[in-house]
Amino acid sequence: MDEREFEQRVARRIDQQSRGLGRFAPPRPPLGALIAHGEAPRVSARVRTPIGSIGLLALAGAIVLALGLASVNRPGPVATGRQTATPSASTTAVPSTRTSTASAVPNSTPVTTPLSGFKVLGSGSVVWADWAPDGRHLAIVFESETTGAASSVGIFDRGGAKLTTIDGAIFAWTGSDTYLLQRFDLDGTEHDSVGRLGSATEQPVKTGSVVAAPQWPSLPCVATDSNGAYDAWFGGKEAGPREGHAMACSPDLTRIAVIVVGDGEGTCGWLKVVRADTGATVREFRSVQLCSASAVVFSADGSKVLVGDVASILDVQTGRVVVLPGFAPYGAPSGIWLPDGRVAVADENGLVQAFGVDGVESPADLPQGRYLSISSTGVIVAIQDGAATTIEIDSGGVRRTIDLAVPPMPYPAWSADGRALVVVCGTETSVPASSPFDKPGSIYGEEAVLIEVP
Amino acid sequence: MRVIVTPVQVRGTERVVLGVAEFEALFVAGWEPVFRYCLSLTRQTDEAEETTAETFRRAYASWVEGRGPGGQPLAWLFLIARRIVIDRRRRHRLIGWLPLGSRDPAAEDPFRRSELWLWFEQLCRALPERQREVLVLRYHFDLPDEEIGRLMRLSPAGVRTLASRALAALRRQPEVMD
Repeated sequence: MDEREFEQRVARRIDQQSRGLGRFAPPRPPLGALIAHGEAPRVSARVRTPIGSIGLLALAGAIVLALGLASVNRPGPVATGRQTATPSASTTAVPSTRTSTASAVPNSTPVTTPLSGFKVLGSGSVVWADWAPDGRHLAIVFESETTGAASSVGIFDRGGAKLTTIDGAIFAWTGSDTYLLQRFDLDGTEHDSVGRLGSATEQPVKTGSVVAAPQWPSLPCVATDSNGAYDAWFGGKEAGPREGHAMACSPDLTRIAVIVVGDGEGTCGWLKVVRADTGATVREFRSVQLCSASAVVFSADGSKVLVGDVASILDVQTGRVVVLPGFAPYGAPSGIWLPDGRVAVADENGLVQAFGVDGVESPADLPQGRYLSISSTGVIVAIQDGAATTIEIDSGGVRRTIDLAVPPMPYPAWSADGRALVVVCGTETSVPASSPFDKPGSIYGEEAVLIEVP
Repeated sequence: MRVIVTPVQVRGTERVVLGVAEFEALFVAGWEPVFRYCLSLTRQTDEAEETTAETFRRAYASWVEGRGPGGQPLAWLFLIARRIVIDRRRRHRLIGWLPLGSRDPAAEDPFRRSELWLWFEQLCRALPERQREVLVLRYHFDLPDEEIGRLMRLSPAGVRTLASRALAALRRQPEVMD
């Protein structure tokens, strides 16, 4: 079959199958109802999980109690000896039998005590929270309940007092009291402006201008990221659209870890590390197949990348891949780099283990939970999964727990000084365990909670 | 398949402000194509339905302000729909990329239980999203490369490149077209 014939065959098949999609079209609502309704009306009913019921809270409480007891009674990790892994392109480290090591578990397990005092900063449909660079202000983005399109941004001070509300959909700090704001017209046209807290006026800007800022707060080196392409953010400028899903920035913001989905290879891809300024490839790891992304984290010097999805440490300099033992086939839902250069990785059950960069398990007493996060000062937070409402916080070996009313989502926003965090909490957060890259997620949080770490 | 929904609302450089009746005609003719487009992007009927309704709500608000389509009305509606989809994804992404549990909220979707879903899944495994989208816009909605480019923020040459890559990939996996 020649190329023209094949194209015609593809065209027929695509057309035929796409027509079939019309079978699932809901009845067209009356135009008047559509226009009059503040939020786009749904014709077909969606079954929503009831949230916040007393029964659910009671169940959550029981689970928390059980988890709390399990945490208190959990034996310390078994210390294992360090074993030098054989350098190879891909290595699975094997834990050795027990011998004492220099980095042994502290003599006494930290006593876990309840931490009282958290503050609910706002409720509704919480999209995300982000601290100003100096940590004096906090922005929380809410999806509007009424329009389903416009959003608002609540600005809070460090203590959690609300200062003001700004209308806008995408918000990014550009300085300690300045911000970039993106709004959308009803037809989807974007408008960017910059503003200053306390000032009533905003200046319109074009996306990509030097006064703009990354619009994707979770990745400070990425300006935008959607639909399988991202714009890098380097030197105050966008570096044009590039293919791939930006996953992480190195701490010095010069490198980006990107998941690339190759032509004809479906929704799974591989990780490559690129220079933020030019997009030039520093290292590709084609042998590491990634079909979802649970945790991609650079080491402090940017020379290694921890990938939770495959529970592996990727060495950007050498291309070596060290597979952490015991996580196959599901990988690790989260992982962090500890201040001493080791990694801490949580498994599907929320059991946290530490490993050296050689992949050998290393004893450590860490807070337990499925999702780990670490602040700039080394405060570690472990968040459980599902209905559990307990967070474990480790600050310099002092272990505390905090019980929230609503289960927290696993992406706390840390203040610059690493002593305060905001977690978004919500019960309707389930998405497929392995989300294909192009599948949207689900549901916003219900409230944002400010926690101060003493 | 070519979908003609309503005459172009631009005469020369003059934009003609149209009324509710004209929009109603666009709404009637465009509801299903917009839904099909949204479903091809989101692969969830709930999402597609919400996006379709939101698309027409926004389109109407623009229409009555005299900011109707400058070219093909269907492409204009697709542009609105696409921005809504991307915006939703952008906001959801923080959650969506995290494996927060094993429950799949779309598991009960009737689309998921259809043979069509299986075919689209196969196509999804074979082609990245942008390549799928360009094929659907080109071969199902019959949009010219210039319109597709405006929609996907690509040059017409970029559209052609994307399409030829998609075709090449499908040639390597002919079973998808069986």
